[in-house]
Amino acid sequence: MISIWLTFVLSLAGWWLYFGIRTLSMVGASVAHTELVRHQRMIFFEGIVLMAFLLGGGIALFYFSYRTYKEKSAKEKFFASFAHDLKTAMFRLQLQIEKLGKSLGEDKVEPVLVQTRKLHLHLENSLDYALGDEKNLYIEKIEIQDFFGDLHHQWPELRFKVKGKGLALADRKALNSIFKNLLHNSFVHGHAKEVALELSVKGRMLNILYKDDGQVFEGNLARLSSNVASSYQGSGFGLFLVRYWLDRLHGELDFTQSEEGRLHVNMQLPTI
Amino acid sequence: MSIKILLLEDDHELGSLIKEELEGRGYEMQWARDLQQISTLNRSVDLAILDLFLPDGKGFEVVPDLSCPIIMMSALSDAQNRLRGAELGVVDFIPKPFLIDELVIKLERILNSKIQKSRLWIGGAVELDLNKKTITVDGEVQWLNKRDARLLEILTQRYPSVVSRDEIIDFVYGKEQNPSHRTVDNAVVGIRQMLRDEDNQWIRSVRGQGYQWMKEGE
Repeated sequence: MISIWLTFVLSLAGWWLYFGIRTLSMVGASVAHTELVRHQRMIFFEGIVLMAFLLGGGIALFYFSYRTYKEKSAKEKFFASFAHDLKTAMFRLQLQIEKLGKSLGEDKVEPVLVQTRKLHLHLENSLDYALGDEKNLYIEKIEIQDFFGDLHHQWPELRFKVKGKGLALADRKALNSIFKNLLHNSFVHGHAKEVALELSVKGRMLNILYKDDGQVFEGNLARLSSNVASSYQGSGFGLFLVRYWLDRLHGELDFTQSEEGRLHVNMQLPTI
Repeated sequence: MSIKILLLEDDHELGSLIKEELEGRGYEMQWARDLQQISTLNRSVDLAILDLFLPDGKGFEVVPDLSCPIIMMSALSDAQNRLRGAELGVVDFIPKPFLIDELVIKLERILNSKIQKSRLWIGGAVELDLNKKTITVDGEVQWLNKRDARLLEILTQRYPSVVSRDEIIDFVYGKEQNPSHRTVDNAVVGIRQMLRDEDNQWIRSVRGQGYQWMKEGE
């Protein structure tokens, strides 16, 4: 529809220009007055049609932009309300489980806590994917060692190891999603017992090497994180989001393997 | 003197659970369910935990009236709200859902709380902090997993007594998992490696009895 409108308006404008210039060249030449009047009338009517189409196009453009804006607002409102209600319900559930764990024993409720953690991660990932680039980032200085260490409470089954220190310029929520997805992969798919970070600064970038002691990686490195349906174990959605967030943070991502074949995730993030 | 915390949470169930959990850890709690109710409470507290979305407004509205450190919590911790919080001087923003332990760690970090006594052991270049559940060796930090932390918990709690393998099994693993004495021995070997305890200066094996913690806390 837009292309038909554009083709018509441009053709008409082109013809109008050509016809106007041709008519101007007739002024002063020995052309009959009636011929000039006829040309003038044509320029007038074609001009009116052109103006009408331009106006119509402008109004339509305004209307569609407004409609998109309204749809976007409605979508954001829906997701905000949906996320708020669901997360609040999950939080209630989690606190109830924690409370139950005190009377029944932590070991008995641990599997349920693990499942709520998975559920929360899947919900977060789905929301991140659904809202995509509409999510704004708030870039701040983040001490990676402390940030990563704080996540340990959510993965008490794993040992965390951090070598080195480093500040990254990143968004807290994005970083949270990156590490949570990596930890989820290590714990659920790799059956790791220990995860480690090695931090080093090179120029204006902070290098973060993430590794675990889990199962060896047998998939295709080149396909990792490339799409949401990578075939290695899970859906590949988590690593896809890791790449997505790193791209948005102006970082880089690369996968390598250790000598034993374990997956190494090499990330780079801007630093000060 | 106990530490006073002001909680602003409109969800009845969440509010009562958080209040109960924190009271159980020794904090003195005041709980308001909306902005109107918070104005009737004594606001001279050591720390405030505020929910962002409330029936009668946003938690940000009370921030200028409070002189204590503030933690905001919300299920929607988007960039805009976090930026607004930082501008107002909010110390931390914790996204829901979270574990109570996570909240407590943040509280303690902010308050440098004296409620929980220090559980720090230092030996040479090695530092063990059981509050944080970390072992630091030459600047390399290691967070202990749940079972290692529980094992160290019972050994340090019972210092200088010897703790038998059966007691360790009951405390760390629970009876239903049926771990053997060998499981305990392997776990101790792992912890000794983390502590660089080649000459048993941290944990001593007592033949036929069990294990003994050897260090006094700082």
